[in-house]
Amino acid sequence: MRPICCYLLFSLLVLAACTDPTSDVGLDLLGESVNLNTKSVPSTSFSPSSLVDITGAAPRVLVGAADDPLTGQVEASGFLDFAGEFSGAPSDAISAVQLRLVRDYDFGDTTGVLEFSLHQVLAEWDQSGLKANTALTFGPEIINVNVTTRDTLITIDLPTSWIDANENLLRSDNFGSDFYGFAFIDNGSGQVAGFNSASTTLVATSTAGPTTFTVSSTYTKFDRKTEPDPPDELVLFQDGTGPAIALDFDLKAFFTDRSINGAVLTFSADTIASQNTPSNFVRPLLHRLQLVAVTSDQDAPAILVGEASLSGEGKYRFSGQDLSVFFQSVFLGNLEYDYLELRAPVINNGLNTVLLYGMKAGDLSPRATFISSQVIFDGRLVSSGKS
Amino acid sequence: MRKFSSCAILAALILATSVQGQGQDDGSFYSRYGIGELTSFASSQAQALGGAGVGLFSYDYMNFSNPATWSRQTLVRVAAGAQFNRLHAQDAGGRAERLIHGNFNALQIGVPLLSTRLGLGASYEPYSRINYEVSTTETLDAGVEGELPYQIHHEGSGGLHQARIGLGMRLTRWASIGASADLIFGIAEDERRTTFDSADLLDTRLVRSSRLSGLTSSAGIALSFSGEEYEISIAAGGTLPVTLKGTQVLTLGESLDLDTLGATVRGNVRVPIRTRGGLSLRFQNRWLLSAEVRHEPWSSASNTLYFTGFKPSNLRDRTRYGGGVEFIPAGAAMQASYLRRIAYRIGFYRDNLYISPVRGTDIAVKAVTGGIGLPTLFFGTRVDITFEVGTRGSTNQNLIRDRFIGVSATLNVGERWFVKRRLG
Repeated sequence: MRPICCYLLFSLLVLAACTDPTSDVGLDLLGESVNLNTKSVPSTSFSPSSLVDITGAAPRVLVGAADDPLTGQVEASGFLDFAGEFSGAPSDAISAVQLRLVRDYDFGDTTGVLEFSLHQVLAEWDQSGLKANTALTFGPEIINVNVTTRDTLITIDLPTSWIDANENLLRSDNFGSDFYGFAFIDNGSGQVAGFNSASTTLVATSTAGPTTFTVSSTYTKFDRKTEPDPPDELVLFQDGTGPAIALDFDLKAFFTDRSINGAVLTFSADTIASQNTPSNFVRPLLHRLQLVAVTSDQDAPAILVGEASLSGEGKYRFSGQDLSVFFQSVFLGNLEYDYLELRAPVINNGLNTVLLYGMKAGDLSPRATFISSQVIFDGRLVSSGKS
Repeated sequence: MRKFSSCAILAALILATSVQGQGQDDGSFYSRYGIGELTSFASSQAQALGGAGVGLFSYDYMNFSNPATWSRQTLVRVAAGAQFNRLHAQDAGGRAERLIHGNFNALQIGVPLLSTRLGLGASYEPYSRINYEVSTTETLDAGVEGELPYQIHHEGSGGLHQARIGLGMRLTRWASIGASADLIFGIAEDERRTTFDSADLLDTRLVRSSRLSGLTSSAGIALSFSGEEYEISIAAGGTLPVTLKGTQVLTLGESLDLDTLGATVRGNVRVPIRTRGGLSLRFQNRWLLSAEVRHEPWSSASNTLYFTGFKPSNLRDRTRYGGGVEFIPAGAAMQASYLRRIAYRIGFYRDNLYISPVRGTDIAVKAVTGGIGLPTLFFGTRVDITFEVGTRGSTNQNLIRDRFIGVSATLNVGERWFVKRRLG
C-alpha cells in the first residue's frame, strides 16, 4: 500500500506546482484602486536666492564688465594658474613669454571694448569649490590689455621686466607650485569675455624653443554693481553673479506616506523677454538648469535632484526616476531639506540669463506634478464593527 | 510501523511548505477580504461528509470538530494531507479565469492516554488563507506627456494558522467532554505592484503586512447512545471569541530599497464565538449519517487594524450546515474483499462567507462532497481521497462566481504504541 500513498502524495505535489497566468477577474471589485492619479501642486515660494555661485574649477573664466538694463551692472575678474615643465636647459635664456587666451564666450555690448589689466597672483589658492565672491590677492599691474577686435585668439606679450623677474621661476622644476597664476582685472570694459581654459596657454620662448604651460586652475570673481530690474511677475535667474532662485512646494500636506510613481517639476520661461536686449547687445539664454535641495546643514553640500534643458516651448521640465526617488524619500521622511533651489551647472560658467514666470503667472507658474496611486491603504485609519 | 508514521509526519511537513509555496496567488479573489478565506479540516472522513464532524465518533479518524470525540482512541494516530483545487472564476464583466492551487490540509496527532477513556489530540492546520492575484493594464492621461500605459498587480498571500492541543475524556458510558487550547497566528500580506513601460516613472511595490496572533480555547460535549446495531451521537461544541493582536506595517519597495511607510500600527481583530451542533447515526457498522450546523456571529466582529472590506456593513453572520452518508459494504468484516472494505462517502454543505465585498450581500458557498477511504495492509491505517465540487458567490452586483473542484488525499496512520512486552 505504501507505493500508492507515495504516488498520491507525489501527484498532489506535481498538481499543486501548476499555476495559471495572472488573473484579471475581480477588477470590478477593485474599484478606483487600479487607477493612478496626477496631482499638481503650485509652488509655495519662488524668489531670488542669495546663492553665491561656485566658479572655481570651471572650464571658463570671465573677464570684463557689462551694464545690462535687465540684469544690472556686473564686473568679472578672471584668475588662471598654470602648470608645466620648462623644456629647455636651466641655463637657457627666456626671450619671450606670451599668454594665449582663447575666447569662447561673450556677454554685453558687442561694440564695447574689452579692457583689463594683468596681475600676478601672490598666494596659493585652491580652485575647488571656490565661490564667486572670494577675493584673491594679486600684485601690481603687469600690463594693461585693450581688445578692440572680436578675434577668438587674444595674445598678450608679457613685458621684459616681468620675464626678467620671473625667468628662474619659469625654468624651475617647481613652477607649478611656486607660480600662483595671473589675475585679469577689468579696467573699464563694455563687455564680458570668456576664455576657455583648456585652450588657453602660457608660452615661454627660449633658445631651446617654446615651452607651453597649460591652465591648472581657474576661477572667476563677480562683483555686482547694480541690482537687476526684471519685469513684474517674472523672476530673473542669472548664472555666475546670481540671483539663483529658491523655491518650495507644500508637499507634506498632500503626499505624506504616499507612494510616488512619477514626479515632474515644470518651470516656464519668458524667452522673448529674456532675450529682449538693446541693439548690439548679447545676453545668452540659459539653456540648462539644475534643481538642488539645500539642507539646513550649512557644511553639507546641496543634494542634486535633477537637471533640465530649456525646451522649444520655453519650459524647463525636471523628471525621471531620480526625481521620483528623491521625493519618495522626502515623503517617507527619510530625507529632509530646507528648500529647493534652481542653479546653473558649474560646467557652464557664464552670465547666461533667463526670466522665469513667477507664482502669479497662472498656468505658467512653477508647478510640481506627481503621479501616485489611489490610496488603497488609506483604511489604515481603522474601521470597526459592533462592539 | 513507527517509521511509517514518521514518514507521514515528514510528508506533511514537506507538503506544508512546498504545496503552500507553490499554490500562491491563484486562489479565490474572495480571499482578499478580511483576514482571508476561513478554512477548517476536522478529518478526511468528516470532510467527505460535508464537513459534518461534531458528532462523529470514530476509531479510525481523529476528529478535530469536537475534542470530546478524542476520548474514544485506541491507537496512536497521525493524519496528514494536502488538497489540490481547480477554480473557474467569472466576474460580472464576463472575464473568466481558470486557476489552480494546492494547499496543505492539516497535520493531526492523536494519542490514547487511557484507551477509549482519555485521549490527547494535537493539530496544526490553516485557519485562513489569502491567495489571490489580479492585474490590469491601464493608461494614464498625463497631459503633455500623453497617455502613459501602466500595469497594476494586486495580490495577497499568507494567512493564519492554528495549532491546537487538548484532551477528550469519557465521563460515562454515554457522555464525553473535551477541550483544547488553540493558538492562532500568522502573517497576511497584501501587495500592490505598479509598473510602467516608461523608464521615467518609478515602479513601486507596496506591501501591507499584517502579523496576528491570539490564544483561544475550544470545548465540546458528545452524548452517545448505542444499541446492538446502532449508535446515535448528539454533540455540541464551540470556540471562544478571540482577540487576535498584532501589528501592521506598510512597506514600499522595488525601485527603492524596501522601506517602511509610516509607523508600525498595533491593533487587534476580534473574532467572534464559533458554535456548532450536530448528530451522527451509525447503523450495523455499514452506514453512517452525520449532520452539523455551525454559526459564527461575525457581525459582532471588530478590528482596529485595516483589512480589506473588514467593516460592519460588509461583515455577515456565518451559518454553515452540512451532512453526509458513509457506506462500508463489509461493515466491520476484516476478511471481506478489498472493494467491500472501502468506505464510500457522499455529502454536501451550504455556507456563507463571513465577509462580503458588497455590503448587505451574502456570498453563498454550496458544494457536494464525497470520497473514498481506502484500507491498507496496516491495521488502523487508511488513505482517504476526498473531493468537493461547488460554487462560491454569484456574478450579481459585480461579484464573482467561483466554480471549484477540490481533490485531497489524506494519509491516516494508526498504530499501537506503549504496548508492554510480555515476558516468558
